[in-house]
Amino acid sequence: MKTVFLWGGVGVAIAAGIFLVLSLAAPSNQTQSTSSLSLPISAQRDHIKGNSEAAVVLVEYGDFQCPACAVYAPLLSQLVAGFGNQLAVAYRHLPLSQIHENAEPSARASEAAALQGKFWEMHDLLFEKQSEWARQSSAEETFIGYAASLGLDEGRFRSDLRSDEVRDRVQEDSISALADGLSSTPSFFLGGVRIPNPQSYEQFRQLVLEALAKHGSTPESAE
Amino acid sequence: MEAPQNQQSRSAPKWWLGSTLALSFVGFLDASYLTAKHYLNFEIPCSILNGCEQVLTSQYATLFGVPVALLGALYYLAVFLLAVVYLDRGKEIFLKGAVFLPIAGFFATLWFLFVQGVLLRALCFYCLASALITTLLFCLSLFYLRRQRMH
Repeated sequence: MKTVFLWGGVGVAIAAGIFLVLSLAAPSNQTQSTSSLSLPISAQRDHIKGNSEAAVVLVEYGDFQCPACAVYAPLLSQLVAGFGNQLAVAYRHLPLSQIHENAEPSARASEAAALQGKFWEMHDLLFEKQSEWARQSSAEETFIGYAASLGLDEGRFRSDLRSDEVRDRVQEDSISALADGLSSTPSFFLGGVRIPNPQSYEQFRQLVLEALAKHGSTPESAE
Repeated sequence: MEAPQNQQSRSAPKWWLGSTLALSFVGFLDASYLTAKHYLNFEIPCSILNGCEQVLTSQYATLFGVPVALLGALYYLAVFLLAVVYLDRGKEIFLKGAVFLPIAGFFATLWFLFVQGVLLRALCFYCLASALITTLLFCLSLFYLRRQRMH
């Protein structure tokens, strides 16, 4: 009898434990803590890939040192290519400096490149070569090398990288992220509304289709 | 089957067995959580609340394609079940398993601490919690072995 109770208790404890763990670890589909962007999208201010007049804009708050952001980057490019003029992607900075020592310098590198019209080229390069610079004790020299490889004016890039203008630009994004209650990257807003991180390209595509339908647009193409 | 009370109390005091059961169960939950994170998330988001993504997505997080968190969960479950079987059957062999497994687990923990602190320079809260649990289990094992030698 004791054996039955003992093993019954063990079975119940393990089953309850597994249930608890699965519910905690599963990606959340709940509405996020805030539902809309506190800083509106601006074609002048934001870095936008695709048609800036697109029906739906996907805003990503990212950190160049975050491995998950690096994985999502090609998916976003694929989405913009797939939806043509109807979808644009905007990138904003949320450098998690507490856990990523080169997050803020890399955000500044992208902004310094933006001042020479090559934000997205630097954005792609930083994610592609993330493993190369992520753990460097001083990655700025590496970023200057990337700027040179992109054909940027090295001297200007070097001074912009450390300028107050660039530092403030990154900080503005971070402050807006905090105002939206964000504490992790990547965090996405679709059509101005926070969405849980999609778990595949297909999920992303479906969410964009829904946003387009809500907007009253018929998808042109979205393979 | 009842465990012979005198043998059980001589080999492993109740508090020792209770501690081993509790620690291995919490360790099992902790490692299962990391395993579930690995399988359920397309990509683990980076968060300022814990630095796990860098650790869990590193080359050291899998062994021949199997996440080390899963191996950890199986290890804790094995310790837990060995302690339960000992409680049920009272056979020394099961107790010995629950004593010696954490010793192997402790050496694995030392490696993972080295990986996090030196190779990755990134700490993951749940991995550190597991390191603490295994260290406590290891201390319990040492206590048991010392007690055996004294007897």
